[in-house]
Amino acid sequence: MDKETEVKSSPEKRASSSKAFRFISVFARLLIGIILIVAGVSKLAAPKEEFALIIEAYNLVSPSTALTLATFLPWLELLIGYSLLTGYLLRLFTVASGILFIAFDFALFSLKIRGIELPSCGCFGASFHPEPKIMIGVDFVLIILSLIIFKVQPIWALDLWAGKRNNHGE
Amino acid sequence: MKRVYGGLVVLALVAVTGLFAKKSRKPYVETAPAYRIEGPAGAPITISEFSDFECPACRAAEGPRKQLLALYGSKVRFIFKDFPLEHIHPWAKSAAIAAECAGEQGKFWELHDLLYANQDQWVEAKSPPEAIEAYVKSLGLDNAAFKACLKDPKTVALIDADVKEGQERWVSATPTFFINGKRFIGGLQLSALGPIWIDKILAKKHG
Repeated sequence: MDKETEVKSSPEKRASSSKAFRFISVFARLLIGIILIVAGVSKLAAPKEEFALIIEAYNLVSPSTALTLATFLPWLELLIGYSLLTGYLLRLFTVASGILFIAFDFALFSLKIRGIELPSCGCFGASFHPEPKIMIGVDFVLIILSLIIFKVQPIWALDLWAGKRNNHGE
Repeated sequence: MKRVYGGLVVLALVAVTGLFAKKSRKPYVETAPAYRIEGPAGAPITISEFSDFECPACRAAEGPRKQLLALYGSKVRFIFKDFPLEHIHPWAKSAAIAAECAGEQGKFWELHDLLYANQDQWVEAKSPPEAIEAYVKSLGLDNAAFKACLKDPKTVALIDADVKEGQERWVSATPTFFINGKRFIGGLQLSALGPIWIDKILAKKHG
């Protein structure tokens, strides 16, 4: 390949890799959105005291804080989940999802350090019962995916329909 | 303006999904062999108890439990679940197996009551299995069928399934009661707070 052809193909390559990343970003939004919605629904489908009991088992917050968290966290999960799915205030809610998964990973990792064994992570109420060690890995992947959504120019998003300019100036 | 519409769409989705999830809290779907269930299938209240035959707190909760069932009668369906805490109660699982086998012959509640009423005697006996066997004999069960049942892996599997379910539902102490999904730990909580919760559910259903 001569130098001229190489120079010509570089922007095309960049364009195609950027397009691929945009689709990965959409996939990431779908995945995180669905996970958060399922998590929120599972928790709301049981009395809030049940989820508060799970939060208390982590031994990181007081019982009254656990009850407050149990009341609001499922709704927050739904809000972030739907915002990512629809692409509404995408950057803001992507940051929120990243912070949420970092907080979850911190809580799960602290269990390991303190030697607390829980029957499951309690992330999905009574619906699914993934082990804490598995969820540490899953949350880490979700943090990476949140980072991709944050970095990549969005497509198929309410933000674009609403005319919100993205950070790429487009 | 479009951004406001977008926000409203997202909030509407959140509200509809959240309310749907809350509404989907039906009378809790609980499963157990028929002999461990009391009360009509269509009852608006379902109480399940995760219990351990060797646990003194479970014996103490028997009074409040029976009072509650008498108070609400046919409005309540009661389901017994085994949750033997083997690390502190070495004979709890043997007792649970015996109760299952009595249940196979239609005498679950009879042995259940005997085991709790005489808990001090059989737990402190030289050979708890022999003491339990004496209660079984007093119920006039078919001895050969009973012994075959004791050895049947399906019997143990039933108890293990309850234990697994209890662990998945974060049961860590016995007795733990669930009234339409809401947890009450111990007889005191059951008798003090259970009726309030039940009345609230019944009022919602009739209101």
